[in-house]
Amino acid sequence: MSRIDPADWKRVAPALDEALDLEGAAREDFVGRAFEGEPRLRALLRELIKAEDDAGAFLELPVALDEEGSAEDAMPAPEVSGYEIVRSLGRGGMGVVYESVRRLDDFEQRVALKVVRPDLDGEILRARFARERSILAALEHPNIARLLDGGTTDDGRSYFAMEYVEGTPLTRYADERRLTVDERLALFEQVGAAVAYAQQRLVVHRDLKPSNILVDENGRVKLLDFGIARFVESEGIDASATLTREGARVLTPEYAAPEQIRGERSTTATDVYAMGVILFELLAGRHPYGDSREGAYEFAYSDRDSESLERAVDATTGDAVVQARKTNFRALRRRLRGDLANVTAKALHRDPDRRYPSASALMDDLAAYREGRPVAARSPAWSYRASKAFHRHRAAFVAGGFAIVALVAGTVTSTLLAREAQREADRSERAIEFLVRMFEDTHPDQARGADWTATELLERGADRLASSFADDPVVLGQLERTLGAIQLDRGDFDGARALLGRALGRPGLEDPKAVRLAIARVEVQRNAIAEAESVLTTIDEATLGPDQRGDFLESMASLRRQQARSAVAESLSRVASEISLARYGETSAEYADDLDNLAVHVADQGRQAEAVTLHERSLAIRREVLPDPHSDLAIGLHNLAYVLDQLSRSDEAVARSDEAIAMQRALYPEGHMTLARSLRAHGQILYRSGQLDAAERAVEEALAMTRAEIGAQSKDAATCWNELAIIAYYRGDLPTTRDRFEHALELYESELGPEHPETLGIANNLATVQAALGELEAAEGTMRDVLARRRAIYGEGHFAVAFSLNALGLVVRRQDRLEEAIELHRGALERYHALHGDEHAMVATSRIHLSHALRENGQIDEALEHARAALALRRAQLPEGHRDLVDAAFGAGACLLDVGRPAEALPLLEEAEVGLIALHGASSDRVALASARLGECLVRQGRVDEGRARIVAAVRALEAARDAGDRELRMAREALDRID
Amino acid sequence: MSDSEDVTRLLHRARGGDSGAVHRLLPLVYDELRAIARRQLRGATGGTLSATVVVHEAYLKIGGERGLAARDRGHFFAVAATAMRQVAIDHARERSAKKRGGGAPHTLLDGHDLPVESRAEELLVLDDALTRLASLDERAARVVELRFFAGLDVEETADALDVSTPTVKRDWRRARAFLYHELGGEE
Repeated sequence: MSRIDPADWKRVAPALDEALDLEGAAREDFVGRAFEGEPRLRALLRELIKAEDDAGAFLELPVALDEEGSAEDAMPAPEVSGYEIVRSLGRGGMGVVYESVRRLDDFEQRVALKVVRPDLDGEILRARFARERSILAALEHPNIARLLDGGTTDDGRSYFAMEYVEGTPLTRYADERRLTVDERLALFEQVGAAVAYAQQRLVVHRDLKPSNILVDENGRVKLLDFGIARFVESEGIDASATLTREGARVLTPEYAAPEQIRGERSTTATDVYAMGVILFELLAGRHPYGDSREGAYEFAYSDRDSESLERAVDATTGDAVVQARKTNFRALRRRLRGDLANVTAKALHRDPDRRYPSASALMDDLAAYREGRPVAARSPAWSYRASKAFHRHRAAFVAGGFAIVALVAGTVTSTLLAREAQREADRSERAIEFLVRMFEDTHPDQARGADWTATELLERGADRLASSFADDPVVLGQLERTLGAIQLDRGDFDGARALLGRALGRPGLEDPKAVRLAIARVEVQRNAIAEAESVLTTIDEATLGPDQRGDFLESMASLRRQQARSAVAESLSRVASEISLARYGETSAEYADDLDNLAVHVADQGRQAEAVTLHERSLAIRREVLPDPHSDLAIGLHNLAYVLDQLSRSDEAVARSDEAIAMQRALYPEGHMTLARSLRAHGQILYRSGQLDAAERAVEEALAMTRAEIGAQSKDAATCWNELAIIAYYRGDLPTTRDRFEHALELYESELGPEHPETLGIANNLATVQAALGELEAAEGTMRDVLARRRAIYGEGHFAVAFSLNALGLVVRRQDRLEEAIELHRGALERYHALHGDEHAMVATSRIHLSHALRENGQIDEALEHARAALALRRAQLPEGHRDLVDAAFGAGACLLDVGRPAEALPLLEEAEVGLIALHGASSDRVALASARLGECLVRQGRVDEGRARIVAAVRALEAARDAGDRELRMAREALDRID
Repeated sequence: MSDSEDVTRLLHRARGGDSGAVHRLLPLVYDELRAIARRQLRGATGGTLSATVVVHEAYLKIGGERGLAARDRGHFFAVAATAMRQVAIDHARERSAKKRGGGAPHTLLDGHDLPVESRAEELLVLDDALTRLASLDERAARVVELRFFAGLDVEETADALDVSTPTVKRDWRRARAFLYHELGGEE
């Protein structure tokens, strides 16, 4: 009876159930009708029914164990013609092994005779026995115990005769003869040869261990006991791709691969794992997980990575181990590092797909190692990742930190290097995993049963580290540096600053300059500009290496940008990009990074079009050089989107931003601060293009993610609130806007301080809302305050000052101080014009504000000029119905009306009314003034009743919604007066 | 020795679908069962023990006087059955290794099968076949595990797997048919 095919089982099983529910004739009937036209399945059904009938009490009695011996000892030696039994060597499950002498003519040969046990069930055993024999028959290799003969004993039992091997188990042999590491590797080569040979013949051993590997007097390795070996079923395709369906319970867990322990499929990679364990023992003198079987189970059922060879020789290693390798402690430690550790780690990887696929692959890599060639165990992407320039543009400074982690703990290096880098997933997450594990190792009682989020770990880990490693300040410093780098990466700038600062103070810190650069970056991120500058000036630029110099220049550039000295920033950036162009060439990630950064500085100086070109060039290079998805690709897309948005090329900006977000979602499926920030930026672009709902969703998601990653009391969370407030403002929901700004302001004040430039920005926003709600004096006071501080911090020409001037102008205008308003808006316009040229969105906005003020002050011609210019620009850049476009239309229309050109004014005012209705609803009072002016226009065009009705309605609406002294109400009444 | 509170807590989490908890449970329960098995074999019951007894004693220890909540109990037995299966195999192997004693330093064979009563080889082959069954018909294999390796009766099995008794009976029948068929020989 052959093994049941799963597809067959799927079909037959339900029929089996049904058939077994029936009896006698009914059952026969059913079977007779089942599987019409498929005699094979019907036959199988019959067999299964018969099996169930025959089964009797099979399995009914639960398994029981017996401490007493069974009647096995009294087993008579068999009679086998041609062989003389000398003595019993041992008993295995299937049979007994005897040392015998084979006599053929004058020829005498010592053999091991394996005979089936007499007391066991014949059928099953015979089959298994026969399989072992056929496996052995297929193998002929100097390092595999050879099959010599087989047959039946005189009393009908099966037997086979094997080459008799007198030897010592592998590890003991090596220790007894005090073999050096090289000699051990040579010995292992023989093992590899044997296993590779067997695998070529499609045999998986499945029970490799030192006691199955003997070394004879001549130093030759012999592999034994293919008792549970299996043929890999081949179906005419690559044998290693198809697997046996067996998962025999593992019998020697110490050497069993995790998938074996869990009862999953065994493949050639399973043997590779066992070889890894053996190699580890051979080299390090101990087992990867201590000596416990529990260790093997633990490992199989956990998520941990296997132990590293580098850690194997430590303070607990005894002298015996070192002496057995004829060396000293330090030399042994040094020897077991680097590629040798990498190769071992790859063989020991918990995921069979990540190991060497076969014994010969493992042996090839070992040969490469011994010949001094590069090994496959190190993936090429790693060295790329390790290149510092790769991360230059990012605030996160981890490349150096990671190398430190590797030196400290070993585990991380091995697992990372042996792991194929399939995606550029965040390396800080892996470092966190490592740290979590390390933490669990040192504090198992606290770790067990707890759900560690990265944040919690980092919070507690930092403290615990200090106490755990109090005796080893060098290690402590390195760990603090790593943790600091991780926190920087995750956007927790305060935490990063604290840890990196501590690391800087520890003795024996490698490359303190790099840490200082990292600190400088943190300070830039925290906008602690003065602090950043002071840290940077402690670094002597002349003593930096070229890569570090690039880093340094980049930091300085970021710094300068913050202070709006972007021309300086730009030239510094150019130098940096020339360095990378020379060093790495045009098609390199490093050059692309620098182009991207240069583009940012160029954009800051108002040359957006040029910036777009640079961004696009950088993106093109990145697309060529980096895999998709990749965080740098995403950043490049974001940067490009930002500039496109500044040029009001909204559709393109949204498209790029969408692409960036999608990419980052793929990179950070669990959420990450980078994704959170991107979502925020995405939200900005969306609301500036008018998609308020989508924008709100994006920012809400960003806020939730920010809360999860670094907490609600953070600058990033505050910024999210700011964006959400702006969205509410665009919706016209002033109370919500104000609430959100207040929330944001609170957070900014506590995180950055009340004097911080960004805090001031929020305060300004809040003031704008206050003004919108009619609290004009308060609003004005705040705004003047903000303006003064900005002037002091940024200097007169800065865009922040321009922004404040506009905001103040609006508030002042609402208090009817029109001339002041005009001055203010002019001031804003001048500055924006100087900064960004004519095409910029802020220039258009300023013109509109200015035009309104001029118009209301009676300076119609100039008002019209500005209104026209703004309208043209907005129309070219914005989609129909966009609030800024509608506003511009209103402004131009009102001007035209006031200079007595109602015919031209009409379409514009209609556009304005329609637009405002779409934005705020037909009954909203924000439509009223536009309606009133439109009504006035209609009257001037002869449509008197229609027009008048409109104005009246508008006045009513405003009377209902506003105070008596409201300007718009007054202006609407004036319109009514004019037509009457 | 595992802390019974840990196991209870892990059971709760396993019940909540936390697969990490399930993974951590197994070695703990395994330890428990092994300890109990060892104790029993050493003396009290005259040197034999039945899996049923071992598993139930482990349950008492972990569940305490009040026992476990119904669903936790089910989970416990499910895990215990798997662990007991391993204990049975391990134990017998241990014993056969011990039996050979100091003897020959250069054995050609290391005991890798286990005699269980007189059905030594069959248990190993059964194990194989059971694993194969698991990939075709998972619940049926679990039923076998629970009934044969943990000695649960039909009701208890139904409880542990959260299915009805007729379902258990049907699974059991089907599993026996498959296993008996498979044990009939291999190619």
